[in-house]
Amino acid sequence: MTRAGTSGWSDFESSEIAPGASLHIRQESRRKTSRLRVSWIHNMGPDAAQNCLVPSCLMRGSRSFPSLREISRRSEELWGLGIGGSIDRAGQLQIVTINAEFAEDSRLPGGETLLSDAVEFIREVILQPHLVEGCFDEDTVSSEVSQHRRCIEGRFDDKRSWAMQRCIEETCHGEPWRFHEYGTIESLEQATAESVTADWKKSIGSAPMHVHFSGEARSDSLTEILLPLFDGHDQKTATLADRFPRKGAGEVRELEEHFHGQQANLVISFRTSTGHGDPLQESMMIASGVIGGFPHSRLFTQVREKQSLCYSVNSLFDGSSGLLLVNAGIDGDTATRTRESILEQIDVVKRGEFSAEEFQMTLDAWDSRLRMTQDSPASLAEFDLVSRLVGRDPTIDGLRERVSCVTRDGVIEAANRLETDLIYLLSPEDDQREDVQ
Amino acid sequence: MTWIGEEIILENATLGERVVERTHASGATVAFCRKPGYLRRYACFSTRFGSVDDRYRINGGPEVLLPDGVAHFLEHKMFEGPEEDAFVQFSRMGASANAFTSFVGTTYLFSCVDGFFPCLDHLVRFVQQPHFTTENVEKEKGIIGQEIRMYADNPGWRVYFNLLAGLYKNHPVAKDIAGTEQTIAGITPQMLDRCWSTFYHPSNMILLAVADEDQETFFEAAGRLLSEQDLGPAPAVEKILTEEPAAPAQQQVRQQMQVGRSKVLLGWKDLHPGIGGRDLMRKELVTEVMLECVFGQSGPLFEELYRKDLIDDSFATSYQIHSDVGHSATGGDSADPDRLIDVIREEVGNIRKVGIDPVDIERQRRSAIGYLLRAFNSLDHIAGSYCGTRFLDGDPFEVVDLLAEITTKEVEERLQEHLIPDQMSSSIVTS
Repeated sequence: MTRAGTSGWSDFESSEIAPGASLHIRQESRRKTSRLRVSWIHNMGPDAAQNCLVPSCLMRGSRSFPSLREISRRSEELWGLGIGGSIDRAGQLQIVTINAEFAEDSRLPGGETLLSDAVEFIREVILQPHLVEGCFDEDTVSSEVSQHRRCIEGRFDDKRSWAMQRCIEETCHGEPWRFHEYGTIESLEQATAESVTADWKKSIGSAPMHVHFSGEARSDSLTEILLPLFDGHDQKTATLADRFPRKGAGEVRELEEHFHGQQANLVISFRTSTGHGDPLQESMMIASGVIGGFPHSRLFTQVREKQSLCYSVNSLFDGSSGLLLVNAGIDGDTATRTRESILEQIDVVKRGEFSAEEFQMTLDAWDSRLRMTQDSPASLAEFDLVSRLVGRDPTIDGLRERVSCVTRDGVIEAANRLETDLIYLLSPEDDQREDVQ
Repeated sequence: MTWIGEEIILENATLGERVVERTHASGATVAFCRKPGYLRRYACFSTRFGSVDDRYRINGGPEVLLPDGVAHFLEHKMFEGPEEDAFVQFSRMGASANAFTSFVGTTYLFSCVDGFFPCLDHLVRFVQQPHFTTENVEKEKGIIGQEIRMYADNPGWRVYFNLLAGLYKNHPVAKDIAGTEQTIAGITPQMLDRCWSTFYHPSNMILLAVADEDQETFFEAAGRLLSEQDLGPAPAVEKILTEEPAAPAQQQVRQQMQVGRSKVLLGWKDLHPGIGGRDLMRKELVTEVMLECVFGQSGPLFEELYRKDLIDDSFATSYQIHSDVGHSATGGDSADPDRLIDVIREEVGNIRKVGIDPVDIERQRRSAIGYLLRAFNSLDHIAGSYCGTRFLDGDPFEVVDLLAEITTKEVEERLQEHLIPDQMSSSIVTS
């Protein structure tokens, strides 16, 4: 297995357009489409929901295309340009984004060109929304509040993800990791046409801003085409909060909640006392991989395959919060047995009783995963942005190099930092059965 | 002789893609699509054995009826080898592997960066070497039981399968792909062995690579691997189709479960026995363009429903073909599923009276080219599109020519014949 050579594909070339506003360009000739990502960064907090309304209100109409229908028609005319908003997080920061993807000029029939028109359209959507007397239309805001409320309520429908979020909320009282990037319904209800307009102005004016472009176009002419995207950004950039310190675990706690359903979801949170910027960060990534990141990992081969205790089981390490979460979809009656089995596998890794092959397979799987990322401009842009926000070297090859230096002893040391914090179980009520008519 | 018949080349200049296809002496279809510059390599080995293939006979013998969930169960068990799980060997080679069972097929796949050919060896060999024991089959029932429960708690999955139950009276497409805990309880190693012998013969399979590798090296490796095992002549398998009436089985299926957001789907049933290849692809494309004109975000209906707060971003529409049946489905999350159904029913009636504006169709043609360019960036999409269309005797790239060919009249006729109340059913999942 070849590892830690360079992948041969370039990273983004970055330039600061104004204080707090950066343009990242990556030339990409293998694909048929260009990708553009415009992101604004905010501190994560209880009011995160209000920021979520900005991209959704922008998608409801611009000056020249003043309705959702007109925006959609224009997208279709631009050879099916895909455009939409998204909300993500990087640790304690919320990332609000407008994403777009459109055909490369070289692929269009009849020598048509698209790049300039596409960027101009995206610029108008972001900087010249359809406003009524200087504000977003009240009906639009009220409808987007209602839409986002359902989005927050709908998080419950993905039980695994819901159980993991509940576990984080209960583990991290008083820490920013507990907030969901969609925010809360309580803060959403404070939104008005005026407040969302103010949030939009604040975002485009002073929030730290990153534009990522990946496509065929050459950077000299491209920069000129992309610069108008920064038109609204002023010189005073909002400051982001200092990095919140990572905590250790206290006493092991247990929490069980119930729902009407069939399968229980077990989530165990561990404090790792490591993360971005810590020398053991990559060792913890590999430790998590040996425990439950892959089909060769111990949770899959032992808890699922040998003991048939679950279908889905894995572990996930977050370098921002320093939390490692293990989750499994199980029969509620086997919760105690599954929990013991999971903790036993973690003890095996702590004692170093995993094979040299398990260790090597995990290194190789991580290396392979990182190299595959280079085929996806969307993943590369996300990696680049998140890396910059959490203070990590934003090159894939840099991370590959650090991962390749992880030793077996480092994995054992990292595993021994795992402290169980909360054992959370979302389990079905005893008396329920589905009711289909 | 390794290869039989003529080499087939499928290609399209607009998409910039080309697939070379050969038939191996065993009967297997082997295909290669080169993706220059991509680091990721992808290969899949697919069989035309999915959840709808529940009745068949061999050589005119007695009819065999399989319990629901067998194809999916077999997919799980193929990964188990006498020494170790096939997944582990892929991991050893730095590759990631997976498999999925659909209504009409089962696909085993891997992706890797290095070591493509050793991974290809492993893929072909493990799919051709079943290892079923009473112990490992019984053990799998617990794992799949948890998978079934996981989907039972997924309201998006439930609203979809309840719609199928509303649309189809007899057809096995209405049944969950994984079966139920009851139907899989009776599965035995012998049953899996018979299914494997019947449906995993190379003549029923496609081996495809989408990779930046040398084409001839791939065909040489694939030819050698498929020649390693002589499985004899292909069994004369007659899949028995289930007769399905044109009318939906039920007008509506409602399920109560604890959800954050209510879900709703409306479906229009479609039958197309005896149609395949280009004709079926044309029908699919005409239907998709029609649905986009009626339900798409640039149409009048979407904005009205959105403004009335009856739908959100999750609202989507698709046309799906499964074996000899198909259906259009539209819907998503809704604050008021019953009202949404009423409004859509009424508005579709109005649109049928007014017809579709030819300008909308022209815009959809242009938009579809952009969509295809985006989609064909993806190795997985190329593989899915190739296998899906080849299973139906179609050409994955022909869609570009068909887009230019289809007429306003065809789209209009499709609207009038397909979106009719008599063919409609709906499904609601709500708290």
